[in-house]
Amino acid sequence: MRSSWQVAWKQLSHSKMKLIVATAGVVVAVLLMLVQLGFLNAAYDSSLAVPKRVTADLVVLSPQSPTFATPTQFARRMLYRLPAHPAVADVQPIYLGTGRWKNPWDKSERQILVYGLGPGENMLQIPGYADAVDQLQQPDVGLFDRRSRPTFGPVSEALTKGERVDVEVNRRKITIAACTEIGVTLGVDGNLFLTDTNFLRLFPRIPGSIDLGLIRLKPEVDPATARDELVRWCGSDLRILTKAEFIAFEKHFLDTGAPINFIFGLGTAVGFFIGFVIVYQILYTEVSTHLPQFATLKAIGFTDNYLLRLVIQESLILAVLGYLPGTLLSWCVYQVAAHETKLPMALTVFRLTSVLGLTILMCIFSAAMAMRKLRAADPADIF
Amino acid sequence: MLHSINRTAEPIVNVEHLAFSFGEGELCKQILFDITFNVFPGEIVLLTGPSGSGKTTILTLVGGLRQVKAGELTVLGTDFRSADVADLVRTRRQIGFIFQAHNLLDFLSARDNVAMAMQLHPEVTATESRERVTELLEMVGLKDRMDYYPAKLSGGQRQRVAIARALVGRPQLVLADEPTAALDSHSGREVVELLQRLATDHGSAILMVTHDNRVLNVADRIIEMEDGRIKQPVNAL
Repeated sequence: MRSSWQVAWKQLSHSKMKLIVATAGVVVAVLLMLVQLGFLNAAYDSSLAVPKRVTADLVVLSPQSPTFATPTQFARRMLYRLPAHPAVADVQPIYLGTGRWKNPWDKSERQILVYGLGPGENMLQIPGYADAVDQLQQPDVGLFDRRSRPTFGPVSEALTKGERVDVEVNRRKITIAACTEIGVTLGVDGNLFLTDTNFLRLFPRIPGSIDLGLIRLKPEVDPATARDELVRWCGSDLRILTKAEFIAFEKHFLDTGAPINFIFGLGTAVGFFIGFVIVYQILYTEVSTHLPQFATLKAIGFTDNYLLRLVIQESLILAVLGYLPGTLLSWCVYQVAAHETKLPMALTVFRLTSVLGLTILMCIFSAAMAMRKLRAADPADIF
Repeated sequence: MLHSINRTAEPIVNVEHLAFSFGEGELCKQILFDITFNVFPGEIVLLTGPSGSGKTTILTLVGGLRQVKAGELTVLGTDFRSADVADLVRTRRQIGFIFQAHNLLDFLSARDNVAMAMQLHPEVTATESRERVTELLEMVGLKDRMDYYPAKLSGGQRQRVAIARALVGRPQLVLADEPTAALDSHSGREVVELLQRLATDHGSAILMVTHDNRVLNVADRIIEMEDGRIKQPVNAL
């Protein structure tokens, strides 16, 4: 009994039920915060996964496109003008469309994002594309993302078993030659990669209009300088971004154009609030039922600071007690969620530390509110 | 009862012309008028008188729990009129308080309740502090109940734990408010003898408010209060 930590622990642990309730409150808060932040990050990570696979030096979009995933088309000839500039080595047009995929096993129809990759150097990093490129040049052959949601059917498994997989996309038979691994987002359930020729068979459109352009610059050309010169060439007809700017552009869209920040941020705040209320309730009850005892402690020479410290220490003990099982539980939820949604759910060290910080903050905040009651403990009233 | 009262030494408590009132202005109610007395080392002084006569207020003033407004009050060498909060807290640590309500912490065992008070004396080593706690609990007759929680102790036993807590820091001054009120005659007698032993062995001064006639005979001096004044000093010797 030489330290206030021991006193704090004994006060908390005296009633096991109270300790369990308070700890459960923190566990729920930690769980909610970690899971909500996990989904928030998954939403960002998954949506930025494809932009991060761009290996081009510059990216060309229509100025009307809010994000590459819902593009406004622009004329291919504008992209093909650009190699006239001495800095540009190569360009690649990219076509995007949402197709209806008919699951050949259960005949259900799902929307799938279809990429049409133009000729020339492939500046979108798609694992396995180069190996399958000969097959993909054949009419109506595609490369399927095996990390698409399971509703598209066991395509990858069938291919592994050596079966032939013919599916129907936009009422046209497509043969799946191989699988790649890209990953889905909140808005995209699956991905299919085709050459531009095959793409245009599925998506008849105004000839010569594309969704995205990728530019390879000559070596030793500074992308920012080249971008400035190309922007001067094209005026406001095209949006030309460096690779880093393109990722920032997509992130900005997620920050402002999509409600994910708000939804998951609110979920995190609710978790924080639940934990705060429960810990506050428990500490407040502890303080108010022990007011005469605390006043006695003050009378015999304990300082206000000692008692404040006691309450803060109790809140910190609760923070640690609830954090550990909360984290473990969150890890389980992450595994299940990653399996069910195919979203990238990673329990990063950064997120673990942030939530630990939030938990401690939450508990100290509760303690600070509960402590206001301590001032009511007047040692002069004891006698 | 001729034990070692040293009336030539500095008094532990020196009260001169102390007055006290609650409230302000028209609502001002004066509780104490012109109180003067001393308590010397080793002396047991009882405060008696009807309720409302101001005994407890004197105890809270001497205990540094209320601010002195008029008159002189020096306790353990600290002038309470000019003392700040930190001075008061420091002085209170050298005082053993025994309250009418024991106010033990229900989540600590008897041993821990007493040991907690030793946190106020960091200069005492952990080993010595443990020994003192055990010694005192044995002294108040709770040798077999040291690890009991207050809920499992009788009223008298709880009061004895509270006394052990008040005495574990070896205070030079003990302020006790009706320490025997909640006790049967036997336990009450034991408690009083314990306080007496403390005064004899350690030269501590004891200022005790009591209505209990059974304990009057241990007093070196009885101060009788009425309507906020000292009625007449009665020498118990």
